[in-house]
Amino acid sequence: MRGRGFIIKRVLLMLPVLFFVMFAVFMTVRLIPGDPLDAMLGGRRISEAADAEMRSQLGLDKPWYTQFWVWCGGVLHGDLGRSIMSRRPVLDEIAAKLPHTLELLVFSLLLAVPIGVSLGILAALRPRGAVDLLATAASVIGISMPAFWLGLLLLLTFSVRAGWFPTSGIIDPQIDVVQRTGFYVIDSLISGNMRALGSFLHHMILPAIVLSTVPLAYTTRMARSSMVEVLREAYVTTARAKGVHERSVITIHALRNALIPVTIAIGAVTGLMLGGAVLTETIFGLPGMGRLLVDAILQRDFPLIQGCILVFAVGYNIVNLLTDILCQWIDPKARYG
Amino acid sequence: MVVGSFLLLSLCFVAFTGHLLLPPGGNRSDLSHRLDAPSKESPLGTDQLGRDVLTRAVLGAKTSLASGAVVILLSGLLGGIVGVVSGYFGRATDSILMRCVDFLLAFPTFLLAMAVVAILGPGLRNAIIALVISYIGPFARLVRGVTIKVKANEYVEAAHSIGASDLHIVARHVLPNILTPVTVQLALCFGAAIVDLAGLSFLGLGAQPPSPEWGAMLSAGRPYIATAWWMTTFPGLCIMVSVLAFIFVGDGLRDVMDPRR
Repeated sequence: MRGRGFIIKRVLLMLPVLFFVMFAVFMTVRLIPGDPLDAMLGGRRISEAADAEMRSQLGLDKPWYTQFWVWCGGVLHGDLGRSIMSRRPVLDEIAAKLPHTLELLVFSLLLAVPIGVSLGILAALRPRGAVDLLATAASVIGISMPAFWLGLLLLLTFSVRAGWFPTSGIIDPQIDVVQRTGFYVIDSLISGNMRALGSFLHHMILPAIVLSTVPLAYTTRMARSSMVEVLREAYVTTARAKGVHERSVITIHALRNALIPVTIAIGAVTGLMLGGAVLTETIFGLPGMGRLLVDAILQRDFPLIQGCILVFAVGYNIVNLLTDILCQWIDPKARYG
Repeated sequence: MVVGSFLLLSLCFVAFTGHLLLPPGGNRSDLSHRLDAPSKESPLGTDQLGRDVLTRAVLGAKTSLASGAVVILLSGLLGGIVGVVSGYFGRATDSILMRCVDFLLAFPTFLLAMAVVAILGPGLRNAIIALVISYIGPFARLVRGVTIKVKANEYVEAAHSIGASDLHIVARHVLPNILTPVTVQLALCFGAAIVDLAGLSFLGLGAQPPSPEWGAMLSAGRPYIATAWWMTTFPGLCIMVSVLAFIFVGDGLRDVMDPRR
């Protein structure tokens, strides 16, 4: 199945998955043992009037299927309820934090993918050479070293001891940035505030290095094994036998085919990065979605938990969809079940 | 394989008998010796309550390895049952079961575990349950894929043709032939389970103080990172060595069991 037909089919297949995601997120609160409101309040006492108001607001006084229908309607209109802790709309809380997580993910991928692909391909071109050993070591260490431990070690070495990087936060608190989009990079560029941009990038370096270790490891490993396999293919041997320049053999014949499994691996690794983002933001005190979710879980703020998990799950499925579409674009002959 | 096996056996030895070799009382608070640097008395230093980091690391090995084993065995068993049934019977059974698995796979693994902990509440037992649920999907997919390949073999068709029951075919032909790739994957995922468990504990969602668990120890060491580097360095090293051991063993098993290599 090619082009547009594949994309439409893939989007349609995603809809029941997204519906289930919404149902599962909705059931998060309802699966708590005991009364959901008591669980949310965590033993805090409130007046009867406030109790009744909260039950009505959360829809807990209606049958579960009515609650689900009303909740779905609210979600589709951008109403994810109110945070119990801050009393602010959940959507506002998420909108303030999501851009920071996205910026962290993008920076980490910008670090991991070019380095990983380059390292993997160079390793494949010179098996058992110095680059190959380096690539193997990097991928083994990247997979085995817990990212949160690496974060603490980098924090200790480069922030606490050397003082080269800040210990926490996303930007120097004394710098003012006019928030238009919520993305510091974009807002800094729009307002021409290079000092803010510099401070933001300075704060992001260590977190991005930490979060990039796992995708770097997987990308390197996949690029290497994929390139080794492609270089063994008959058409590559034929091209060499015909006297095609080695650079052309690699860039024109081998590289594009080798990148298909790498693209799939990057998409798959994005899910791991979401979990890693939670830990990275906690270590470096970044005000992102990951930290928001952890705080919400520890505070039993269920409307906020629901909102965060919904956004993460939808984002994860969209990334998987985009990965499939990108693979289809790279190799239109591919069949995806 | 040799290096991995040696590391793994050493870890198991330390985890299950190490506490017998250490001086007693290392896990008890002693505020007169809080945040002591590594020394002859405390080779890995002491923590904020004066507890010996080496003793807690050894006790943490037992917690982490045992918890990781429970996660992998339970999720492997449940995912394996779903995968075998789905892959062997195919058609409607396969579609229904794989749609259920797709629903589990719609969430990133670690975040699904966090969501389950959000429902059940923080704690080591709940973190284990959360990870079991998160790992069922990937195992089910793997086992299903391998079962389909094995089912396509002629000896399975031959067994059908002589009237063997489905249960007999699964028990005598399918299970022994899927064991190799599944065992390799179990070994490789063991390390991931230890890291995920430590990650949940690091966030305060897994093992709770005063449990000696590596992730919880890392979390406890964070506020003292400037003055007591040993509190974060050694538990993290334990996690990394454990994961490396399982990676080496998994890769070694794959090399040994794959006739093409």
